[in-house]
Amino acid sequence: MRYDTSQLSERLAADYVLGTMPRRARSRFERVVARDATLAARVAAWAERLKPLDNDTEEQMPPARVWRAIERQIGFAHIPAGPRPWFGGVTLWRGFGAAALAACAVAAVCVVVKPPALTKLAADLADKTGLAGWSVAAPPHAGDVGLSLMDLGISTRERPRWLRAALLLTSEGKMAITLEPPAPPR
Amino acid sequence: MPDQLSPLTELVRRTAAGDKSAFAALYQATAAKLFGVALRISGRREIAEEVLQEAFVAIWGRAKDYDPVRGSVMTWLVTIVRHCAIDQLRHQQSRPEGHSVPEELLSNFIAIGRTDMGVEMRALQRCLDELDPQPRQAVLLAYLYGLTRDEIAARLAVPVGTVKSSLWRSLERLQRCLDS
Repeated sequence: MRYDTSQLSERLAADYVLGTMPRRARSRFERVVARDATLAARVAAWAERLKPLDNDTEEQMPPARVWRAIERQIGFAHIPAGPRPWFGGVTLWRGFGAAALAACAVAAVCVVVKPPALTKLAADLADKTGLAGWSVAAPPHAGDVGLSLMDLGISTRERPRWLRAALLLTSEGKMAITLEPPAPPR
Repeated sequence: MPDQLSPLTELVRRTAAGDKSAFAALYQATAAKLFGVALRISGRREIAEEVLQEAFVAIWGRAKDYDPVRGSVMTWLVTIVRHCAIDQLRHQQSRPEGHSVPEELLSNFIAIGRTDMGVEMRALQRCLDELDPQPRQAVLLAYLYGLTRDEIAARLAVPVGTVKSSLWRSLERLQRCLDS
C-alpha cells in the first residue's frame, strides 16, 4: 500500500490523537506539527471528531493537593523564597466542614506581619481530610485588595453555595481572612 | 471563529503571558473534566492525580503553543491529559492491578439505539456502528483506555499487524462517515 503525503499525514494525525503513537515518535511529531499548519489542522480535526467519546466520562473535581502540587512545581507556590516562611501562622488547617461553618458566624481570623519583599499574600484553608479546601491570595500592597479565592477539590454538588470569604489587607500590612455563613434563607 | 475568543481561549492566552490567576481559573474551569479523563485511563486515583499535575505543568509551559485556529481549548487540553495518562501507563509497563476495562462503558458505545446522546455523539455513534465489532472495539480501547496496539492485539487475540491496519481502516471509515 502506498501513501501520498496527505494520506500519510492524515494517518499520523489520527494515530497521534488516538494515542497509539509511541512516545518518542509523538515528541518528534509534535515538533513538526508546531511548524506545519496543515498538519496541525488535521490533528485538531481528529481531536474534534473523537471528542464525543469523552462525553460519557464522569467529571470529578480532583483533591486540593493536586493544585497545590502544580503551584509548587511551577514555582509560584505559597512558600516564598527566603530565610523564614512568613505565613506560618496564616496557614489554617482548621476543620471546617459544611456543618461546622454553618454553625459559626465568623470562622477564622488570622493576622500576620508582612515582610518587605513579598510578591503575594496567600494562605491555604483546608478541612481535616485535606480533600476539600480553598486557596486565597492577594497582592501584598496595603489597603483594600481584590480577593482571589479558589475552591479546590470540591465538586460542584458538594460545594457550599452559601460560603462567603473575605480577605483583607490592612494598612499595617496585616492579612485577615474571614469566613462567614450566608444571610439566612428567606 | 478566531475572532471570537471563548472564555477558555482568553484564559490560555493570558496563561501564555504568565498570568497566574488566569492559569488558576483555567484549572478551576477544566480540572473536573480532565481529572475524569485521567481517571478513566489510569484507573487509579493517585496515578490520575499525578497525571493531572504533570499535564497542567505541561500546559503552563506550552500555553504559548496553543493557537485557537487549530481547534478548541478543551480538545487541546484533553489531548495533553490523555497523552500524559498513556505515558504513565506505559512507564509502569503494566496496567495497575484492578484496572480492567469496564465492559459496561465500552458496550455503551456499541449499543445501537442509545437515546441519551448529544448531536455530536449521535453522529459519531452512527459511524461507529458502521464498523465491524472488532475494529470498533480496537478504536474504543485505544481512545478510551489508552491501550497500546500490542495490548489491543492480545486482548482481541489477533496479530499486532492486523491491529495496526484495522485501526487505520476504521479511522478512515470514521472520517469519511463523519465528514460526509
